[in-house]
Amino acid sequence: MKKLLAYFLAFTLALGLLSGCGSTPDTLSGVETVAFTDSAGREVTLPAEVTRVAPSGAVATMFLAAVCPEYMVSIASTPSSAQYIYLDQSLIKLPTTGQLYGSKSTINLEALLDAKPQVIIDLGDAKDGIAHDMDALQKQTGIPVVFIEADLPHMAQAFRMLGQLIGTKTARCEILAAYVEETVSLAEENARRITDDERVSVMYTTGVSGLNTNAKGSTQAQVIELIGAENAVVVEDVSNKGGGNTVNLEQMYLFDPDVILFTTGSMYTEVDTDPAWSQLRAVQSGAYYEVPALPYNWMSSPPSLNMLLGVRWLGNLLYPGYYDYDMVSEAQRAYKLLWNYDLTDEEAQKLLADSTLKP
Amino acid sequence: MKRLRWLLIVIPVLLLLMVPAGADAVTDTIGIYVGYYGWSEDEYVEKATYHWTELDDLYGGALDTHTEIYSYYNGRTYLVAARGFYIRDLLYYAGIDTGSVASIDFFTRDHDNGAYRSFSAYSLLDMPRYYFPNLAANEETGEIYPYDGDDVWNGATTVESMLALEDYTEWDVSGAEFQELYDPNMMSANARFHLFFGQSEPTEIATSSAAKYCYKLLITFSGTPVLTTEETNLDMKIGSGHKIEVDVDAEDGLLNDYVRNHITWASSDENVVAVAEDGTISVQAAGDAVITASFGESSVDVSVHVEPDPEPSPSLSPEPVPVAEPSPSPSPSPSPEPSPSPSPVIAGTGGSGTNPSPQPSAAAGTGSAAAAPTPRQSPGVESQWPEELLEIPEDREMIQEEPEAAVINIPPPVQPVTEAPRGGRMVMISAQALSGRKPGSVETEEHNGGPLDPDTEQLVLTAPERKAPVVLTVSAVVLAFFIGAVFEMIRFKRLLRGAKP
Repeated sequence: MKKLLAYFLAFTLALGLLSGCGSTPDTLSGVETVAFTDSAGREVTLPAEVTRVAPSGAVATMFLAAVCPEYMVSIASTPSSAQYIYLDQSLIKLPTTGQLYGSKSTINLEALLDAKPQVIIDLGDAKDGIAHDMDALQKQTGIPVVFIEADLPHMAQAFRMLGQLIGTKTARCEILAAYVEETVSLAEENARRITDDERVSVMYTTGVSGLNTNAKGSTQAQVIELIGAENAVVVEDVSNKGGGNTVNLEQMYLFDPDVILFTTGSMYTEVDTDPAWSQLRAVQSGAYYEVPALPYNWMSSPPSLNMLLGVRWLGNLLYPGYYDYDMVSEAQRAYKLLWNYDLTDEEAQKLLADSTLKP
Repeated sequence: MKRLRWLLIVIPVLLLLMVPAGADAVTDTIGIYVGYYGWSEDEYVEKATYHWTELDDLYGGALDTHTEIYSYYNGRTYLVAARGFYIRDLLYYAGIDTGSVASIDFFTRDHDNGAYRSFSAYSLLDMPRYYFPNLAANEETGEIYPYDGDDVWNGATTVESMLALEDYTEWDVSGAEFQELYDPNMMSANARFHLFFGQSEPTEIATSSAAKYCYKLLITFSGTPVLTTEETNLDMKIGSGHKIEVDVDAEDGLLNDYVRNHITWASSDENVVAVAEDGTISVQAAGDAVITASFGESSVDVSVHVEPDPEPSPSLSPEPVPVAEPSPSPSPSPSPEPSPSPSPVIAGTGGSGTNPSPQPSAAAGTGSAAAAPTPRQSPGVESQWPEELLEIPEDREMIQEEPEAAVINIPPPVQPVTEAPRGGRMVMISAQALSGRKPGSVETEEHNGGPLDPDTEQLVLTAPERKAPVVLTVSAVVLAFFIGAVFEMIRFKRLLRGAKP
């Protein structure tokens, strides 16, 4: 009798679990389809004509907002009032669906299904288990999911894959891919030309206290080494999270960077009067700057296509002889290319006021 | 085997536990629901639901947004810069009088089990609340100290409770430091709608009450809806009926309809006056009864007085029982044959016995009567009988014998059945149920196959029982198969064990 009860209980629990699984929508019913191989090697069946896309998170939102804002049916999170000025206004009213997968998932499944995307697109670093995550998300939603590797070395190819996936945007994606290749090539070439005695050491710090730094080797600080500078913060256990590694003032004095970069809301306005900071060589020489941050931080958070601006900006800031161009014009060109926004001279100067144009 | 058995139990349980609870998710809309104290969540009535762009003046929305800084403490300091609309303004926009609000419940996407937080209206809307820029706390001990070394209250400003559309937060800083460092460009909409309300005093610990991802507010009004009626006293006739109208005055017009549709009705004496769920009363017998309409703690009474029918006049009911129709075939005495009648509502007369008896028909003119008093009419009800019928001519003789009973709505008798057709059941219905004293409360018991008392019992058929839904049937088959397969597996294993040398 006990055995019978035990088996019955197990079966009932399993039945309850299975019965909780609702039916998933069939987005491919009755449409012409094509096979698409994503960066994880997964062959995914997609509609031949894609006009409704959903981003998997913040990075995918940035890419899709640059390529095809009119095709987006959802957004990871609504742009802030400071950001939306620069972005396509159609993004404002999109339903927010959050980060769709991962340990920090904030998926709003109901909103996602209501939006009826034809495909969910994930862009970013190729983390371990990404294929499994994509499969799980596809199963959960019933919507085809593709992953496109889009870190800086693969960013040009990422745009081309997007152009292949969204057939009507092939030309646009090629333009963006070309811009990526031009920017990365410029940085790589100049980095080769910069000699060791010219190399500038940089500390990139975040947070209110200014003690959260993005160390050498972190993805958040990859722009520093790409343009030919040196990351002054060397630690054993590098953190790739947005806040980076926490150091103390004593370590900061040991690092003794030539230049300090602060994110918005950090110690930038305080350091010259703060007794703990004011003795740093970079502070005393005035070689500390605030990273421009609209609509996205130009260096990181997240480290995505916004880094293209960061490469051009930091290169021009630290090595104007090698990155020889007017940064106001470069910013205007980038804003037009990436976000179709006509950045005025005044707006560009305001963005660069605490760095390139700092007196 | 034991291990296998436990695995079969543990694995499904673990799988169930892995199903994620409601994930954090920014919300695009905020719903406002209204109700009264004591109501369950699903009884609250939706007042309005707004998309955030309808409220954000930056996008052409209706409400003025404000940027405020709030301070919190819970052993650490927590500073917030937020842009949003005041809760007071939201309620006003939704047409809610904040003076009538008793409490507000906040529901969030990251909390599945009911409201995340509840606040009294006083604490959220009326109590003075502050931002303390001089509030600092020792990061190791949590001890509060004034940032300027003087007084924590220095520089304190009052703040309004807000639902933020975007915000920026920092821990472990004083307000003064935060103000220097924070940049409006740092705000994000990731926690919309985010509740902020500041502190009533520096040591108040309320950080966890700053609800994120709010998607619904339950507004509870103080007091109760008021029920009134103009019909506080009714004089009625046996066999008559009337629908009582009740007026509802609730705090919100939306609630008037809800309350009206959820009034419960009760009679102090169902034998005198019965009352239906919609407030329709039906008079059963002479006497007095109080009909009570109630909703929660609110109620209103209607007194009903029923005079006995005058003898021996035919009972002229100005408002006949709704199912009654005059029939030309009178049957003055209870029938000895069982004659099942599917219509249980037949006006009774005093001393009519336990079977339904046909009633005298006024139209048949079957008897004469001495001058019978003009029947009393229910107040406000016009008589549908011609005037000449209401007055008995003086020259007519009173018939002393038992007045002929008017037959009212007796359908053709149903032939008694002795066996149930396929799929049906045989039941017995008590005469009381058939007499219509309590419509709907048919007392039945299974027919045991024995003889029936024709005076009190009769057979009726019930509908064939519904077949079990296909899903349940399939599930039962699958379950049986599964159990059978498991036992076969156990048996096979035992056989194998027995076969080993």
